[in-house]
Amino acid sequence: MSLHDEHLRQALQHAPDGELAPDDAVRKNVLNYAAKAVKPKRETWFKRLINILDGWRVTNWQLAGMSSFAVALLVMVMVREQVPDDAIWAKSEVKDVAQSKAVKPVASVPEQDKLETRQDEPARELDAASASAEKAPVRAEGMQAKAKSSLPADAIASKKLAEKTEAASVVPELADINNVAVATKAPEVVITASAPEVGSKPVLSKAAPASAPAVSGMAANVDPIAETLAKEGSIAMAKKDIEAGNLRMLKIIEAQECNKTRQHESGKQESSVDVLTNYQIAKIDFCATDDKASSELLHREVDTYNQIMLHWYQTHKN
Amino acid sequence: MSDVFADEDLMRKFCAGEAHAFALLYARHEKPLYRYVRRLLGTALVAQADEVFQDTWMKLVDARDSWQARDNASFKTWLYTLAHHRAIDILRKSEREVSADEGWMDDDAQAPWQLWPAAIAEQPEQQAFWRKAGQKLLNCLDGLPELQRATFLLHHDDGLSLDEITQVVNAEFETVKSRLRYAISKLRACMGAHLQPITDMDSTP
Repeated sequence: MSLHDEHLRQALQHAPDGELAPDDAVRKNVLNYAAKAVKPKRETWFKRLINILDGWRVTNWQLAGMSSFAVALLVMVMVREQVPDDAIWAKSEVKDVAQSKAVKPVASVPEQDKLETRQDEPARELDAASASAEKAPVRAEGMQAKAKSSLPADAIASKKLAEKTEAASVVPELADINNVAVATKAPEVVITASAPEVGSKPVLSKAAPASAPAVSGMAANVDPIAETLAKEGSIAMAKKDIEAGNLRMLKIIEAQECNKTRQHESGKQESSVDVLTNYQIAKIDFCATDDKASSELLHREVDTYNQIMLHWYQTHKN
Repeated sequence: MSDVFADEDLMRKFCAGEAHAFALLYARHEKPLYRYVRRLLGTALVAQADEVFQDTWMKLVDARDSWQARDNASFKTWLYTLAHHRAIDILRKSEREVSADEGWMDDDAQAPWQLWPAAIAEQPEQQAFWRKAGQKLLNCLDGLPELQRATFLLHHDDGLSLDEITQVVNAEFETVKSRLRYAISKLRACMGAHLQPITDMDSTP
């Protein structure tokens, strides 16, 4: 029996469903589906990267080689060049050293007091003191720069106001003293600004000394020099003294009991001489029973006064 | 223009992103494939012909990369394979599948065919006869098991060789041959019992 029947094939060709076609919607669906399937899609950069990497077909050995090369390159760069982090640390260390040197003068003021109290100390202490004094202007400059950068807006305004009011009466040479005073006080401005009981303006203000109200609170026990400091302020007082040729250093003799301070008055007349400047030391009796704020302010005024005198000495010692 | 390119060339172009190549392929195979699906599903499931037809083409689009991977694969064989499996799925779900090897051989049934006209439809009378025979054949096809029907249709209508049919229906060569033989025998018997030879028609007053 043949596996091909021509009669059946002829019948099949003439069957009524021979020319039937699928629905138009089916045709449309199929063609759209196919067109969409091969439509180029917009690939993201990430997918492109993946495709590129996929196309590379790197072997494990190649991968290991590339990794080794990258590590070797990194090590070579680290050996040849200074690691950035180390460089940054090195810079910051230099800065710290510079800052610590610049801050030192504040601490050097009490040291001067110690020197004054120990007049009969050996010569080596004198040398140390003079060395410290030599460094003072340099430190002052550093502090001035620092002060300018850290000075609050109201402190600067206060300084300008003070300069205007004093400008007429100040001797040209004393302009330097103003700068020094501001410079030496500047770090304290930063400190006192954060201390509510003291305030920042009084320290710098020459027109209205800060210590005035505080020191005036000391009532009957106020020393005349302290009173002048309170009224005029350390800067104005120092200027006046310099103009008058009354070159001296101030020292506070503080007593816990006011009566003892009175008793101490007998010894007040015993004058002593500053070992560095050879200026007379004027002692201020001060009774600070419980007014710590006043005591602190007075100390600052005295320090400022002494700094100005010290500066005057260093600029005019020859 | 579409005849210049073989099916495989058009399919490769489509895989390369040329949608118009697919349109040519579709136009070339639309009617024969649709016919095959309709006839394989039979009269009872003809309503699902559109669905099977559409699924077949969409499956082809989705699986184009797998076709590309098979070297020298015949596009037509692959297309009919997809359609065949989809249609068989529908038939199985409808529980209308009949054992493929079920059948009978009635040599006497071949007798009427000896009296039929030659398989040429030049004369109007002949055309009418064969149109009627075609309709009758469709009815007879419904009585065949699906796999015999598929084998007969693929061989007689779509012109696939026995080797190609083995790929489409996923069966051994001898199995295919056997199915085809059974199918022809049954159809002859069916057609001879209901369709009078053209000579008899002529003699009818």
